[in-house]
Amino acid sequence: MVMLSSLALTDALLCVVASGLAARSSLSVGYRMAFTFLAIPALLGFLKFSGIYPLETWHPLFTIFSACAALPLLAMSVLKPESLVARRKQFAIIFLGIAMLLGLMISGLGKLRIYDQALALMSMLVMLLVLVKNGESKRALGAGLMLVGSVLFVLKVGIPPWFLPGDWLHLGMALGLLLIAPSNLMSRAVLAK
Amino acid sequence: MNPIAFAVPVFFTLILLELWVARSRGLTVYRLKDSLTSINVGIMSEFSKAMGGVISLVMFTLISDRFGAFVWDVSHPMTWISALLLYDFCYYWVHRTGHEINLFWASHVVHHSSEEFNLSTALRQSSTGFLFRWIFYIPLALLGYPVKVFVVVGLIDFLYQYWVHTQLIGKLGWLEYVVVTPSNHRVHHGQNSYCIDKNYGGIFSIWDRMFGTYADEREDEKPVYGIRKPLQSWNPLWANLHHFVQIWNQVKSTKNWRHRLMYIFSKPSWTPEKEDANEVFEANRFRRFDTPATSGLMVIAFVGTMLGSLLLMGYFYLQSRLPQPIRIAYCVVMVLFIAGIGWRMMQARQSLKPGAQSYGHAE
Repeated sequence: MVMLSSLALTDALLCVVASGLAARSSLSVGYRMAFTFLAIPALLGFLKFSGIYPLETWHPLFTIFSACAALPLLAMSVLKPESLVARRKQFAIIFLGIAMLLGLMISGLGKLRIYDQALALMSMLVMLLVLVKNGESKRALGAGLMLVGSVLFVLKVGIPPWFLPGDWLHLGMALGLLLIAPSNLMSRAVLAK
Repeated sequence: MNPIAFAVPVFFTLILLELWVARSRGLTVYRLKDSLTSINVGIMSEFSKAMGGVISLVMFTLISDRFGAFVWDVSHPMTWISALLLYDFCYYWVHRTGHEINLFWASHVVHHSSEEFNLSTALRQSSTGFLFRWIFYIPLALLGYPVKVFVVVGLIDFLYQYWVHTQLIGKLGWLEYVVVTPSNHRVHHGQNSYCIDKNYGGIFSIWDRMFGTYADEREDEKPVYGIRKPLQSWNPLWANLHHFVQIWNQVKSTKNWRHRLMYIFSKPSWTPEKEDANEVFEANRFRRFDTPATSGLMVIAFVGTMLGSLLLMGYFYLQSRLPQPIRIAYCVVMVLFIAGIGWRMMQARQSLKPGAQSYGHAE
């Protein structure tokens, strides 16, 4: 029987939330790609922490990709929903491709983890500030939860063995993504532009 | 020794064979100036790869060692079959972005700049592609394929594509559905409207069918080879750089940052006024590029090109024994030598009296 750790459970939750949002056709391509690239490391995390199929090298790599490419793309979609990167597949892929390549070189091969961590925190902060400024309280709360989860993870706050620092990150992200994804009505208005 | 060294004599033998078969059928598929340029572009490409191609192998090894997820048994056929399939899939995307993103088109355009289509066209390869192509093969490194497997399947993919550059082989029945053939690759090299951005596959055409980029060759409208903005030069250095220069000028011409980015990352046919500025192609208005040249000049160009080919083979033979600075110097001198041949071929055009220039014949 497989024993599920808290990290496996919270990663599974994040994976379900992110892939569910990525499947929502009413969202613009920027959102959907960002959610997809947040779901992938969560899936790899679930496989790793549950022991079902641990791909030891991929989970940290795809976590770097989500931090330095998916979160900035999400921030871009929140900040400028009318931009080509947020609306057009070709430009979203180019954005992700360049950001992932830089992440691979700097954080992956160069081992300068501050690069992807700083990009992720900056993206969340930008989303929070923009959404607060726009008066979108529910979505701002989402960005805030993502930020709080990440800060608690970085500060290594946990209640071992039941609740580990990584769980804050997974939960903060899962709840944050649910709240930050625009409603169908909002997305249709942007897509119609 | 570099395996391309063994392939070069085969390439030349097949070119002679194609020339002979075409002559015996009363067809003209070669023009000397065009073919010499293609061969010179190919020699230049091999020398630039010799200088910078190692980037690809270093990056692949680094990524595979650090992040490779699986261990592959190189004695198992499935390792090679799966690697070849995946390599060809990645090649499809390298090739597609090479046509659909302006910056990458600047690198790949040289391969399409010939207005002929024959085996020498296959040698017209980019000298700048090595800078970024490796990025598209990162998935193979992440899967942990050994660098040896990557190199061998890459070579198979490259060599396969040689024979499809011919007009002498017609449609090949059911093979057209599965693999890249001369017929569907002729479409890829055409500048007719139905040929634009079609048939990107390397070995397998299934990727084109999967992603909606496949087009069959039409009997009623044969492909007219070349590019919409003709190169109009025999200089291999200019063939490699001209589109980069064009992008640079376009970027400089505007202060609008969005337009600047679009000039780099959008489709080559993008303009600020129009998403796709490509016009409908009219075959009867197309004229092949040509320049006048004395027979003496052509002899010099021919001998220079053959000498360049021999010196390339010599380089492959000596490569491992030469110290690094000598290797670099050899490559730099050879690139300049090859560029010099093309430059001299173009000088003949400028030395003519005004009005005496010939631009060949209408299609």
